[in-house]
Amino acid sequence: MSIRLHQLLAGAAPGDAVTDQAFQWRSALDDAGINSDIYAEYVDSRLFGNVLPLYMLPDDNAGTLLRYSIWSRANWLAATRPGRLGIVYHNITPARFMRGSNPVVAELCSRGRRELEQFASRPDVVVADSTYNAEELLAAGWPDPVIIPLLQRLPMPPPVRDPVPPTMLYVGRIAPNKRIEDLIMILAHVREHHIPDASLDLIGNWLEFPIYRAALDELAGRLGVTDVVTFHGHVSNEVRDRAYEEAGAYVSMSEHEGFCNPPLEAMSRGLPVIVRDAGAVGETTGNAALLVRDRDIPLAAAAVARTLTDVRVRHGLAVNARHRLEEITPEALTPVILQTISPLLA
Amino acid sequence: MIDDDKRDRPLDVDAIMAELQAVVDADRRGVAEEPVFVAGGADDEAEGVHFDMALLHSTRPVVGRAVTGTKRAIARSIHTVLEDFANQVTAALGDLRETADTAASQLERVYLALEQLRTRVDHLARLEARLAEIDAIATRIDAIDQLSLEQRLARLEQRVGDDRPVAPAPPVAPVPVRVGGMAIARARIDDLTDERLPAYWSVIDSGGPVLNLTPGGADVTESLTAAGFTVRAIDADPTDAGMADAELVADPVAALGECAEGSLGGIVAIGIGDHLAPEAWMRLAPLAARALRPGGGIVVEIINATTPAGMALRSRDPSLAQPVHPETLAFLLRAAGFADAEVRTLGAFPEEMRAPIEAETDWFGRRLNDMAGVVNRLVVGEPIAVVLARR
Repeated sequence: MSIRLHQLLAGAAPGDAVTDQAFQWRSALDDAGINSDIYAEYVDSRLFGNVLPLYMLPDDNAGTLLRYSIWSRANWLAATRPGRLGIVYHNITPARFMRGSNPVVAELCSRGRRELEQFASRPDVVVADSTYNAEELLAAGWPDPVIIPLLQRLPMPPPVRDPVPPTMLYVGRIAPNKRIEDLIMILAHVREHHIPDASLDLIGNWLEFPIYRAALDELAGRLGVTDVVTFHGHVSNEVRDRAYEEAGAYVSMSEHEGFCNPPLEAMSRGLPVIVRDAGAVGETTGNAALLVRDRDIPLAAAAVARTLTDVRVRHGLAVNARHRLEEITPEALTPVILQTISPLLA
Repeated sequence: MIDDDKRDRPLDVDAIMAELQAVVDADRRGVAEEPVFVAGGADDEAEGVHFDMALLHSTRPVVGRAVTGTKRAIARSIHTVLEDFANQVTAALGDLRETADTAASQLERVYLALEQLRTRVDHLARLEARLAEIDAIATRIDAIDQLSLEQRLARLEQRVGDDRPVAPAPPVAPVPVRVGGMAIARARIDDLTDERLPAYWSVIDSGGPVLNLTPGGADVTESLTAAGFTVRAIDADPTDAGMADAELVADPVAALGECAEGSLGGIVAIGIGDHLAPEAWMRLAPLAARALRPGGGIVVEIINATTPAGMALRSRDPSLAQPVHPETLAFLLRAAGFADAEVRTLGAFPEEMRAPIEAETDWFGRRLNDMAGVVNRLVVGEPIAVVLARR
């Protein structure tokens, strides 16, 4: 009889970072002889069979690993199971960022944060994927978490290209806390002051925030950049990776991030990264990105222009990126994961 | 191109950003500080209306910078004029936010109250269902009570009203015999006499002789004699009279009438009553009252026709006449002048044949016991009755 550790999520969908982490951990646990099925309250039809609905969770004493990212029935189910409980905290987007665009998701986020304190005494194992997230848990009265960055296998940066196309790339959800309006203003600033033919590609789902997407279109129109701002929506991993390889710089002005994986993906494909230093972003990228404090549009625009035009900056960032990526390889993280979850397997 | 020796050199990102910051700051100083219109709180909870000067950037070729500069000049002028207004709007938004927070808090309390109300409504609905069940049970119990009352009323109606004052009777020894009803139903009534008879004699006055009217009543005479009484036995059946050493008479009731007034201490009739016609009954009671001396008593044992077992016993002897109800017999005796007339029943059925009477623990248990009592009286009632009366 194999050792089992059930993973519970609020929702599972392709491209979702939490879902991807569940898959990555399952693969690592499987290599260690640990069976780890994934259960979610909401399962995207493309993942049927790969992720099981919550009601199929067996009523056994096996350990449970809850990925806490929003309020969900999975949370209470995990808390009331008889076996040992581990929680991986992926952070919860503050509701204020989305209350005007999607009050339903905002309420779920708000409830997730409100009930965070109620779980404080329950888990046997607590994991946070960044120091930023760990500090939130400590503030909510949780025991000291083990910090384990997102588990993923990324390539090392390829040789630096020169020249590069004047294309800014953003990958992630089109959501209010991502401050996509800042990216559009940066693009306008770059085009006016630095590179007149610069453009912006945005890859990510906006279906949860259609009102916000409409407002972004309006802004782009007012700034006269509609023709050079392209919303691609959700795309396959292959298309996304090709976009990384063809863009000139990765840029993000997200105001709240619990870890933020796309900058790591971008730097692993050789893209210079310019991001706002908010939440856990600075901790995630280390010194492998140009960090912009606050919403300083001219500064961000200057940083973008510099990376697009200065090959030495791109070389230096690629060197820093290589060092950063070597710190978070699966080979480095998997032993930490196995040791951390060992109390759940008793 | 970049030198090969610099390809693997790490980049000091802080230095790069500081350099860029300096350039940007210098550019800002060159165009004066950009005003920013902000209505609403500066904190993250209430973004308000944020108007950034970057929105004024013009991308028109050649004249872009001039157009942008013009726009900014106009914006700064507007900003100067409207700054106070913006501050007022900010304050108003702050008040509005407090009001909204209060409303949200109240709304949360309303939701909580609604949830509690819903819980109570659910509870009341369950109580209502329980009440309906209780009503149904109460209706059934009322029907049972009604049946019980009807039975008791029927019994009372059997007792003919006797409002004459009754002299206190001397204590009567209890009948010790408890013979199983089924055994009685299979046997002749004569088989029962030996054990129960002595208990009857307590109503007889030893100051006078006893007239034994029992058909074939040798054992009765024997019991009376053994108890010290002087006995005169009479019998209308020659065979029985011979066997019982009794006087042969044509009509025992008429023979009773021939006795001198107040001459007898007792009259005993075991089984004779079932052989008498109704008119003989009407004569027996006053004749007995006349013949007995004050303090004398009469013992009349009959088959208890009020019970199925008694009727079964009667059906074994086709010579028996019309049955008489023990209460009717008691009534006739009272009407004839007997001071008291007590009816007792004999031959209880064994407990395993009777409906059980449990210890009364609650209201429902008492109702069940009442019902069991009714069932026992109606179905397995004692088959023998004896009427004991004193003059």
